[in-house]
Amino acid sequence: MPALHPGPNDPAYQAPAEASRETPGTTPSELKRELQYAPPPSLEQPVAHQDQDRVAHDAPIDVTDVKSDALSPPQRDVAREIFVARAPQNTSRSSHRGLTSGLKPSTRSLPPFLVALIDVLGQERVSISGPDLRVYARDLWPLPLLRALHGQQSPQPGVVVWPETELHIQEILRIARQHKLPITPYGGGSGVLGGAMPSPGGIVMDLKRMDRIIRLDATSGTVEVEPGVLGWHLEERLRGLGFTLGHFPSSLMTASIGGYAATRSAGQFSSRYGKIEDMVERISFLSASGERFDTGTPPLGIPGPDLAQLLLGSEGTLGVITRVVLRIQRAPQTARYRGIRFHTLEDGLLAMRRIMQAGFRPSVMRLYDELDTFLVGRGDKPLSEQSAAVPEEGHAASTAKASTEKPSMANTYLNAAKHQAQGLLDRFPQVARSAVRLALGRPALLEAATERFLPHDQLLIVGCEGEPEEVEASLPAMIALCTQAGGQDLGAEPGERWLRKRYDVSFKMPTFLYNGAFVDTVEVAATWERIPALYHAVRHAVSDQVMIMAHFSHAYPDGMSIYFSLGGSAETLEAAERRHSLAWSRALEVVAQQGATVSHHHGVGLMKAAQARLEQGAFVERWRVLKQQLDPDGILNPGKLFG
Amino acid sequence: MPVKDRVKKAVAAAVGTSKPQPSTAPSPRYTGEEDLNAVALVLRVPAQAPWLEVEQELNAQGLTLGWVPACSSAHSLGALLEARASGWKSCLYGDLAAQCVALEAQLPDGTDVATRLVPRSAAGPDFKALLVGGRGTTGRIRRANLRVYHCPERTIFRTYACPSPAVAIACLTEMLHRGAMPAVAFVTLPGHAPHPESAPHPLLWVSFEGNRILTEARAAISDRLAQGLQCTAGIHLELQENPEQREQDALPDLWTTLPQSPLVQAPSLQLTLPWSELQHLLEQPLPPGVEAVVSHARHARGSLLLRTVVDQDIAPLKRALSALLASTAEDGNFSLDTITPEVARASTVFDCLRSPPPAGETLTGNPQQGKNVHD
Repeated sequence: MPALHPGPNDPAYQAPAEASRETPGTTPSELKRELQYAPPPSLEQPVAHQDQDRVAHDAPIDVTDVKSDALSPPQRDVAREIFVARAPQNTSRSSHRGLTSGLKPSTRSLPPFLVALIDVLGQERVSISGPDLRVYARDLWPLPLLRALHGQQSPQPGVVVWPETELHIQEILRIARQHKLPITPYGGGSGVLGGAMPSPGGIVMDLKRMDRIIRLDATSGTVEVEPGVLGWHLEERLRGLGFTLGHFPSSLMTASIGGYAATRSAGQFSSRYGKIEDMVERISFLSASGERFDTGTPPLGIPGPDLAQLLLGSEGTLGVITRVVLRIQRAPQTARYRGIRFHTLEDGLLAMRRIMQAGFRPSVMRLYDELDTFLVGRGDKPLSEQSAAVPEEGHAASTAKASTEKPSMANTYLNAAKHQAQGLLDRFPQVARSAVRLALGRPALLEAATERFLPHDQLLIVGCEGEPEEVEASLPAMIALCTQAGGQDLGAEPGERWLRKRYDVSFKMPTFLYNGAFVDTVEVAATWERIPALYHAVRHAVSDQVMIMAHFSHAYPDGMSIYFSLGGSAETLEAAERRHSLAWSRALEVVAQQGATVSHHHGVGLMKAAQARLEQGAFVERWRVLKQQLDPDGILNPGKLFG
Repeated sequence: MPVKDRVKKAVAAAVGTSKPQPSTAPSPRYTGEEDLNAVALVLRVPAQAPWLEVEQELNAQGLTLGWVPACSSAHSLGALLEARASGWKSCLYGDLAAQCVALEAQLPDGTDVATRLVPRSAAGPDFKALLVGGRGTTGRIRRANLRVYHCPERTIFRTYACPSPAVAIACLTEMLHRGAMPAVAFVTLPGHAPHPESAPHPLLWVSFEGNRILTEARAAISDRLAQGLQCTAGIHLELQENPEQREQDALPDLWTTLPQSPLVQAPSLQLTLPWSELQHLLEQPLPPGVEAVVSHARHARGSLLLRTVVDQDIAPLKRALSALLASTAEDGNFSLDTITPEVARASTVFDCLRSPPPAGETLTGNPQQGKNVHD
């Protein structure tokens, strides 16, 4: 798998070649060519819709890291279906061919809506096959996954369609209106809140065949794409041309651009590049009636309200996104990463706030709480055993004190125990299953052990990328702000390790599910002064139900996000669901009480719909008025967002 | 005080480098402890608060709104928000909407609404967008929570002479897309006031501001990029944090005259286009009798401010520009007056949420009704 963020020694990050000097009389266009500022001709003009122009989809993604031995045969079958469905899709035509095409059913035996769909789309773009309907019966919302592993299938859609053009979508919308069928737009299916769960018997419209990169405008710094392009593929293509979108969510390998936009997604590098709403220049979409809208700025006159900001985060309830123009950046010339150790959460948060309010734009800034720091393993040794960085100029005083500290015996034993336990669990899956369930089934005990025994280490990862002048000047200044707040510079290793492993956590969920437990995530955001109290209140509210840890990321000058990870277990599915539900409701209640938002970048879906309605208050009625105008029959993703 | 010094101070205020003045008022009107969240650096202000008064109060505390209106500084913040004003420092801060963390408003049906004060949210669409840019027809903004910043430690000005307008645009966009992030950016053209008569080449004007380290790094990046594009550095100026030192800085004449130019103060026409189209347009000769300057730079687009100097009627200018754009458009079918049906349709989506403003009232707290507040 190619690295999107290669290490500092990667050739991609070598300093740019010195720009060649223009000879007198060189025209601007010649000059641009010399400096490689112009995009390749193939992307200057609209790309023809031909397979050879498509993004390469051959990057191998390993989704087989699953301890399937621990499962009974029926569970294995269900599990394979679940996780294979989540693998990055090969979006070539043949791989998405509907299974009905092979069956050649007599259309006389099919319901009228299906006949109509096959008429306008062709059999290869329509499927009612059992495996397809089961696969598209859910997204990555943990609750249905948990149920599926216990043999409870989610309600299935009536049909899956794969449009390839706007005209196809308009026809699908027409048929859906005519037959009063709900439509669920479906991107990568990587949402974790049920936003892409289909309406039973309705139409799932998978947009992954709408995957053309239409036009890259190098001068304006934009790329126009269809909604089905996967973020990973777009980034690969952009990197090849010397650009980056700067959007790296954990779901990068499976999520689509349309999905990013529909849920207000955020990437790991958001502190520098912003969230997806900062990257969208304009959006084209189709209303339920098939009318085409474009949120572009008029060239003359005064812009009115920004409709794009209402489409972003609408989760397919107001229209079907068909084109997105995204702002892109020049690919960074250099990047550097560091790890900083803090003894208290408050010190780490103070450092982060000072960095953002001083105007710096770190690419990454993530503070892990003590349990997350310990469990996720930010290094082979506990932080207290890692030596401080070689003092850089100006930082000698701050690092000298830290480097004299010695690791405690308790920390050493704890870390050794962690690694031994991991080795045992790897070798004996049944033991692993029992151990995970046992541990997560007693969250209060875990919480008490965390407070009593865990070292008070909080790891802050700081990264900086961009032009060499900015990186070389900014990183030492940011480290200085950290050390002033009580941090200890651990050098580059923890940061570079984080960079290498940053997507691994996305593939941990199957391990937990296979071992009879559930995991989930709750991401919220608040202004700076509310962050510490919010963190402690949520932990206190749920720690008797689930194991909870958190990291603090997506920092802004005025506040940041907290990303809670929950893990739990119970003897029965019903008990596990009760525990899951209780933890969620308590957490979101506390979030509302603290004046935070219930969602920073996962969206709303089904799981947060009730709390989102409360949060938006009277604006929900305004949304309903807009919805009535754009989707009078209520066919677009019904029940999602605000219900 | 000599006129020139007064102009300098006005410009310094406009570009955010004015010396913080001790407040003479016993207590701030808009920036008291209850209004200013000093931890999150967010200010809650009433819609009728004039930008200038708020900015001056903040300056006295070492803070700034950052964003600077390109129209009259006496406009209220509510009016500027309802107009979705862009501002001089749009490169760095975006438009005023981007600085708005939360809003309190009254909807046309009388319902009071408020968005939650959070840095970002994905709990549905951003409903601030219903009100910002609505000109009061989709709701009346009552209060706004705006981000505030520490006053810049350092401001650096750069002026580059460029081989052509297209190269000037290329240089500016390279800065924007490589993170150099100027605060203010202009491109002036020979023969078009306020371009100095003595300068034979297009000029790119940029200023950088913020903390000392980052500002200097960004200026260094811009120098390297400009050099690579054969743009010759002209006037370099650094405003120091030390107010006494700052007093001794001499603002270059062009920086003092540009924001005061009739062209910039009262543009007759503002043409906003993606940079590639703007670059293409500037390669063509502009209609005679027109003054033009590129301004309001954003990541993907910029504005051409145009003013006819021979006719008070802008209709001939629009016709000439339409003809020029049509001749250069790929499909030959570009008109200034007809935007694409899809864009036009998008604006009608909001009709269902609008109500006409009450008679005699056009914008919230707008002290200068009828004046241009759109930028």
